[in-house]
Amino acid sequence: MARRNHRRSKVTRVINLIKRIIAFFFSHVGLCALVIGYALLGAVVFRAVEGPHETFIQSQVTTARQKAVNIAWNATFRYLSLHPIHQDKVIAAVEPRKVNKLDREQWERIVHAQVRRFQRKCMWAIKRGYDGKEYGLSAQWTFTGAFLYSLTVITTIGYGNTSAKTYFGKTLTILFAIIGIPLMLLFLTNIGDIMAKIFRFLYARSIRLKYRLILWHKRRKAAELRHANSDVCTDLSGDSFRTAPNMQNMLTARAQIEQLEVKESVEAQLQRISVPLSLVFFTMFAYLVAGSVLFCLWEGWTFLDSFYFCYISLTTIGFGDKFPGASVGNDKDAQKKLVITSVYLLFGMALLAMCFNLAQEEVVNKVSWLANKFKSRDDDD
Amino acid sequence: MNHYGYLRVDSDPMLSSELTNSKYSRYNYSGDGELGPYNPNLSNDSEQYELDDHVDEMSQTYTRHASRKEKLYQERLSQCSATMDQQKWNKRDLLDVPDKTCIDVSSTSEGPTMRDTSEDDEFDHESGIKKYAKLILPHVGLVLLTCAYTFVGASVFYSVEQPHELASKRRQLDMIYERQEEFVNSLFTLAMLNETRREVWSQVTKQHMHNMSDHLFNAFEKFFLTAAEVRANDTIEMWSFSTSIFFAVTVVTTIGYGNPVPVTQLGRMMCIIFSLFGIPLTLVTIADIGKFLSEHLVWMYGNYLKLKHFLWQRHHWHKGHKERVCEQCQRQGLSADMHFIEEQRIPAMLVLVILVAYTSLGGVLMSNLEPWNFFTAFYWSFITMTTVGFGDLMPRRDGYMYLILLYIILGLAITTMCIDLVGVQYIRKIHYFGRKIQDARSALAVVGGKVVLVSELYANLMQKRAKSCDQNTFIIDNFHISKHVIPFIPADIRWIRYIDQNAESLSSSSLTSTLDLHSCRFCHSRFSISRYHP
Repeated sequence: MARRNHRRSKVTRVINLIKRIIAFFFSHVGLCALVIGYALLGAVVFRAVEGPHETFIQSQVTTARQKAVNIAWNATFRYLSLHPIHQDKVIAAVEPRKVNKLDREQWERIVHAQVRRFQRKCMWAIKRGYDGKEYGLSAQWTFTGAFLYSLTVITTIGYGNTSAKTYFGKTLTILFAIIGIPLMLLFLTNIGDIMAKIFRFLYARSIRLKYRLILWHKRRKAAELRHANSDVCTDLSGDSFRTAPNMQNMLTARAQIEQLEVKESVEAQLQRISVPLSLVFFTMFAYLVAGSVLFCLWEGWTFLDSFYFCYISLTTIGFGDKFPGASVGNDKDAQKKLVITSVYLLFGMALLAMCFNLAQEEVVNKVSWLANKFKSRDDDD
Repeated sequence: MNHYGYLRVDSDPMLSSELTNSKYSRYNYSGDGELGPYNPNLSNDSEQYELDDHVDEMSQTYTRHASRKEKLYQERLSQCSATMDQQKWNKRDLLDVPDKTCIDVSSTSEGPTMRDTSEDDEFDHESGIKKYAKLILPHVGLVLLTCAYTFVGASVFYSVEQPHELASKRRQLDMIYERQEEFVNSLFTLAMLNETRREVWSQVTKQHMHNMSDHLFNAFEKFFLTAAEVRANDTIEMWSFSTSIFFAVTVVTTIGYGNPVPVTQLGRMMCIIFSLFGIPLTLVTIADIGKFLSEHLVWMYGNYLKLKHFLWQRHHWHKGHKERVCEQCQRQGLSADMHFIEEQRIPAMLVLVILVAYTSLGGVLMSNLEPWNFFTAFYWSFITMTTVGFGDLMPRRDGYMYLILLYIILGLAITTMCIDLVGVQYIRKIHYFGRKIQDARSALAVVGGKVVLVSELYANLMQKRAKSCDQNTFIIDNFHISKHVIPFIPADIRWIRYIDQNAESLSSSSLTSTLDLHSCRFCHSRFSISRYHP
C-alpha cells in the first residue's frame, strides 16, 4: 500500500509538472516565444532544404552561359580562319564580297541560335527559382529570407517571390502550415485580446483625465463666482441685506449643479467603455501610413506603391509584386530590411487583430441596438 | 477569413456550448419512434419549457427570432441580412421581370431541401413556402450580393488593366530582341577587329549574357511574359474577363496569387478600395456557408449517434440487464429507463479527415485539368485553401475557371467549418490549461464522461494538492464529482473499496452475504437493497 501511494504521488507530481509547462507555453510570453521559435525552426529547415536547389539552378545557368560563349567563339574562329585565305590569293573584287556575305549570314545564324537556346535555358531556370542574380553573390534562401518565408506561410500572406521548388520543400511547407497556421491564429487572438484591453484601459484613462480637467475648470469658475459674490456682498452690505444670501445661494447651487452634470455624464461614459470605430480605424490607418513612409524612404517607391504594399500585406492578400530587400541583394542592408519587415508584419497583424476585436465589440453593440429598434417597430406594426 | 472565424469562436466560448446544447435539444425532439423513449436528463418543467420555446420559435417571424440574445452572431448576421433584404426588395422594384423569375426560381429551388429537413421534425406548424422563402432569402441574397460585387470588380479591373498590359508586354519583347541584336552586333564588331584573344571574348559575352538573363527575369517576374511568348515573339493577353473574375476572387478571399496583378496607379487604387469593402463581405458570406455546413455535419453526426445508440440498446435489451436507481433519485423523478445525453462533439480526427479528403479531391481535379502530377496539385490545393497563395502554381485554362472558383469557395467554407468545430474544443482546452479567467468558471467541461463545472473541478484539484495525508488522498481518489447530488461518503470507505477489488471474497465473506451493494447510475452513491433478497 505504501509503495502504491508513493507511485501515485510521483505520477501526480509528473502530471502537475506537465500541466504547469503547458500552462506556461499557452500563456502570453510563452506563446510569443513559441511562435518566434517555430518561425526560426522553419527558417533553418527551409534554408537547409532549398539552399542547395538554388545553388544547383544557378550553376546550370552559368554552365549554359559558358557553353554559349564557347560555341560563339568557335564560330567566330572558323570565320576568321576563312578570312586570311582571301588575302593571300589575288581574286577579283566581286568574288571576295560574295564569299564574305555568305559567311556573315551563316555566322549570324549560328549566334542567334545559341542566344535563343540560352534564352530557353534562362526561362527554364526562372521557372525553377532562378532570379537573375550571379552565382555566388546573392541568394534568396539566406537565413533572414527563409525566416520571412516562414512568417509569410504561417500568417497566410504568401508573397510567392521565394517559394519551395523541391518536393521535399513542398512537403515540409504543407506540414509547417498545418501546425503553424492554427498556432499563429491562437497567437493573434491572444495578443489581440491583450492589446484590446490595454487600448481600452488607455482610452478610459484619457476619459478620466478629460473629466478631471473639466472638473478643475468648473471649480475655478465656481471660485471666481464665489469671489465676485463676496465682492458684491461687501458692496451691497449696507443697502440690501436680504438679497445678498439669496444671490449667493443661487450661484453656489448653479455651480454644484454643473459639477454634478459633468460627473454624471463622465460616469455614464465610463460604464460602457467601448472604443469608437473611428478611433480604431484611425489607429490602423496611422500604422499603414507609418509603414508607407518607411518603405518609401527605403526602397524608392512612390507613396501609393508603399501604401499598396503595406495594405496588401496586412490584409494577408500578399501578391508579391512589391517586395522589400529583393532589389539590393545579399548585403547587410538588405538583411536588416528583411528583419524589420518581419517585425513590421508581425506587429501589424497583432494590431489588426486588436482593431478587429474592438470593432467586433462595437459592431455587436450597434447590431443589438438595431435589433431592438426593429423589434419595437414590429411590435408597433 | 480563418482569423475572423477564430475570433468569433473565442469571444463567446460559453455561447458555443449553449449553441451545442440547444442544437441537441432540438434534435432530441425530432427522434423517431423506433428509438424508444428517448428522454433527456432534465426535469419535466424544464422539458416543457424547452418544448414551448421551440413551438414559439417556429411560429414567430424571422425578425423576432433574430432578436433573441441566444445567438449573437446569428443575430448580427441576420440583421445584416435583414437590411440587405430591404435593399433587395427596393432593388426588385427596379429590376426587370426576368430577374424576378430567376430569383423566384432560386428561392423555390431551396424550398424543397428545407422541406425535406423539416419533415424529420414532429412539430405541428404551418408549412408554407413563403415562410421558408423568408428564411432562405437573406442567405441567398448575401451570396448573390457577393457574386455581383465580384463581377463589378472584375469588370473594373478588366477595363483598367487590359489596354496597358499588351503595350507593356510589347515593349518588353522589343527590348529583349534589341538586347539580342546588340549582343550579335558587339560580337561581330569584335570579329571585324580581328580580336582573337579569349579573355576579351569571355568578358564581353558574359556581360551581355548577364544583362540578357537579368532582363528576362524582370520581364517574367514583373510583366508575366511566358516562355512561349519569348519564343514566338508575340503577346498573349492575360487580362481576359474570366482572369479578371479569378483575380477579383483571389483578392476578396485574401488568397492573392499575384500572377495577374494591377500595374497602373489607377488599378492599384481600385484594388485597395475593392478589397476594403470586399474582404468583410466575403468573410461574412463564407462564414455563413461554413456555419450552414457545420450545422449539417452536427446533424448528420447526431443521426449517426442515434443509430449507434439504437443498435446498442437493442443488444443491451436482449441481455435483459437493468441498472439500479436509488430511492432518493427515484423520488426526484428519475427512472432506470432514462439515458444519459452525451454532449455532441465532432471528433477532431473526423474534421481532419474531411479536410484531407477535400484537399485530395482538389488534387485529383487539378491533376486532370492541368498538366500537374497529384502531389503538385495537392500542394496547390492546400496552399489555396489556407489562403497562403504563393502563385507559383496557378490554373491557366479559361474553360474550367468557374469550376475552380466553385472549388475554392467551397474549400474556404469547409476550412471555416473545420476551424469552427475544432476551435471550440481547442479554446476550451486553452482556457483550462492556460488562463484562469472569469468566464471559464461557469463553463462546462467533460471529465471522465461526466459533465461538471470547471470551478468544481478546479476546487477539487486544489484540495488534492493541499492535502498531503495518505488517508485523505485515498478518500479524495474515490470522490465522484456530480452536478446534481453531492454523494455521501461512509466512514468505512476503505473496506468497501477492498470488496470491489475482489469479487470472490464478496461471496465468500460471511459479513457481506446479506448486503447487495449497488451504485446509483445518476448520483453514483452506493446503497444496499436488502428487501430484494427473500
